[in-house]
Amino acid sequence: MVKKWFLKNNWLNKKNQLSNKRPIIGWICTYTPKEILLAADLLPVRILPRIDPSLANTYMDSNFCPFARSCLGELMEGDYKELEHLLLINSCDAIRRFYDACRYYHHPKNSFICLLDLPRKDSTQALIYFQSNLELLVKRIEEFFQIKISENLLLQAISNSNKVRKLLTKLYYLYVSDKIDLSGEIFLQIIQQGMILPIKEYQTFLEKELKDCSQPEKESFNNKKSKTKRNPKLLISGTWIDDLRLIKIIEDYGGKIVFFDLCNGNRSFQGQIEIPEGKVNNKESILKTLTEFYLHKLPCPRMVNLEKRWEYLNQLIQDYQIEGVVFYNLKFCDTSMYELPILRERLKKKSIPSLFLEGEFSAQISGRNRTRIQAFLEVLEFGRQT
Amino acid sequence: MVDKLKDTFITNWIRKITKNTKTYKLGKLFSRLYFRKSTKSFKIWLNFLFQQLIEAAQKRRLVVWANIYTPSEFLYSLNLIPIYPELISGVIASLGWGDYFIEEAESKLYSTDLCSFYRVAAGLILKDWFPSPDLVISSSQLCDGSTKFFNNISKYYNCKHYLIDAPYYSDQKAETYLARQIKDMNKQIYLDNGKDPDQNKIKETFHYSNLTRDYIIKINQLRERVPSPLSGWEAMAYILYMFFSSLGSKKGLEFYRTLYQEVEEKSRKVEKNRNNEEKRLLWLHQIRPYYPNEILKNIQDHKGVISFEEVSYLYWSPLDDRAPWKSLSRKIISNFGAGPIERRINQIDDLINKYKIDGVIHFSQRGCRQSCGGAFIIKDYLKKRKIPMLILDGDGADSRNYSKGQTRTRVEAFLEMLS
Repeated sequence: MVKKWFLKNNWLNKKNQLSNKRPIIGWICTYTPKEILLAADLLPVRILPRIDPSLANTYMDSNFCPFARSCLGELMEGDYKELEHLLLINSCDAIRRFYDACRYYHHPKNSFICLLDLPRKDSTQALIYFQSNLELLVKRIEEFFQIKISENLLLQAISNSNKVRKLLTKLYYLYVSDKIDLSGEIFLQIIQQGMILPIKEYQTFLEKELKDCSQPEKESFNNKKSKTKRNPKLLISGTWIDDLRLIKIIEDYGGKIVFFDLCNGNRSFQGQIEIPEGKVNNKESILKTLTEFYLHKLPCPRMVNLEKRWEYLNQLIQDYQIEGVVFYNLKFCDTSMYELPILRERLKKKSIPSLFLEGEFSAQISGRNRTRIQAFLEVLEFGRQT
Repeated sequence: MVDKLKDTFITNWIRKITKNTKTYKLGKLFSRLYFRKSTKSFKIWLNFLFQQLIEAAQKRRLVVWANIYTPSEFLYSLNLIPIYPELISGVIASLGWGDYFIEEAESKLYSTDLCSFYRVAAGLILKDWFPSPDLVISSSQLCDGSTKFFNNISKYYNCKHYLIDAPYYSDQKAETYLARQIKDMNKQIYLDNGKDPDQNKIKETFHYSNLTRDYIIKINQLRERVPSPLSGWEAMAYILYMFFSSLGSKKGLEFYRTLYQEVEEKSRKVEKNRNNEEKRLLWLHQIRPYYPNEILKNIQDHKGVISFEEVSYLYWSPLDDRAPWKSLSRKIISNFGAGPIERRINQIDDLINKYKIDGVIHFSQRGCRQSCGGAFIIKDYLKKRKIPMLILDGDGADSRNYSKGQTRTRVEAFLEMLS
């Protein structure tokens, strides 16, 4: 039931119906403060690029991030052609150039295209700077869309966002403990759908699904503890996973992914935005809370905090008794590729095998990657036996 | 077994000699003899390079490894010995040793898609064939690779990494964020060093930097003349090394003063013989290939000349020692390569007009996202201005990515089209 519903729902087919005539705004980074967009009564829709990156070869060098090129292809010739507004983050070189290309080539009339600057560290000064950027963003949205983002609207948006984060966390724990019959691939699809659906609709769906989970007779609730209990536990780490079939292949070869350290994985819903209770919440203090949440969340490779990343990856390895790590990076992604030699060396010292796979938005998972996954899992299995 | 022992012995021996002051003193002496007929400015550069290496090996003061976007004035004002791994990689590549270190880096999981200058540096570090740093400073205004790689360096040498987190925009709050970081960094480095901040050193450094800046402006003005008195190919070699690493030092001032005299003299001489220059080119990107290649020959064979290169564009205002941190912040965020692409386009526009440019070559360094990512937009913009542009794929330090025949065909076709 879950699978069919989600797989068949393309945001474009339901765009008008879902948006309820609200302006749709595109986003592409987990550091996007969606709560501000929700408070402004916009419909935040993440660009989920699927298109062949070579379609953007007229606008961007082919030796360039396939994610950015695919996103541009989607805007120029793909499903997102009609997307008018965009809120981008100064995530990396690729997104900075994507922002340039959007302004230069994709310029619908009266569109709001904005790049929010994000610090690379989480120092006190960085927090002050990011907060001032959020304040400016609120002003710009208010001016452009002729609306007022009040404290109450922000609090409501945060509350809704927290609910969804909580529900997804609950679903994740059910998935990871094998209490429901949910594959990693479908779990990621559910996460991705949350990135494009209106928050209320998505929340209702998650609530319903989780409620069903308490009724063992339902199909989606089959307890399959015995089936996966012995599978090697894996952690997958990287940026964006372009083809979710990869997860299926890992599972088919007998691996169980227990944490998705990905932009479209756990990093997108981890944590709660804590609004201090009993305090008078003015706009400034709410934005301060948002600032702290985003700068202190699980850092992605883009942030310059390798120790914090290593600390939490290491913690996960211990907590979940992870037996192997799969690094999945998109081609030409500098931020993650530079981390790789150091992280893999540290894992080696801990005797945790790791595998590096590279994605480039190709139509099929390459035979090479399949073979490498199979060999990696065989090595893990062999290691267990010996 | 014997071979392995031999390899280990050689590796350890090289490790020892590359960390020894005497090696660089000998190198300095030898280079003086070997390059005795070179220009005075070139000899000043050689002297500067070897002095840096000697001091880095001596370690009488703290040695800092910084990226080329970190203002050298900040490092000199802190009385540090600066080493720029990207520039060292360029020197290594020009000596023909780049591929050796690249292979070493690749064997330790540095992807072939990464910037070759950082791969050379990574190989050098992994081999441990260079005097080590005491601290690392990098500024992030231009590329992610640099920020991440310098963080890695600090892990390899177990030393502190100070990141100057450069904002995207250049407004007041961005400037304040940047200035506060530099101020705190200055304080912290002095504290770690057990010394008090030295205001006089800032004054002295900024004074040298501003005087040097004046000479750079004068040189750039001379280069507006037809025919070009200084080839961009040369400017992207040892002159570029000084451009990134010497500003704020007395040696830097001496170098640019000498270079100015040489360029002026040359411009007077070439004035009389102006028939050879037909196509004036603008070279985009900070670098060019440093290993032996024929690109310059291909250009010259078709009577082309690189009249200017965007990296030598002087984009910052004079430094003000009364507000040093704000002043340095402004220098960082006014970099034409940072922020939106329009800033780079405006600068290119300016250069095309000033240097009477006929065609533009964008050197698309494999592994450089920040520059190559905007090349198509620049090309489309120039098309509207009816200025032809060639996107020349290549690599600055990895000679394995240089295809002689293909490059020649592309360059020749472009220059023929220009005529």
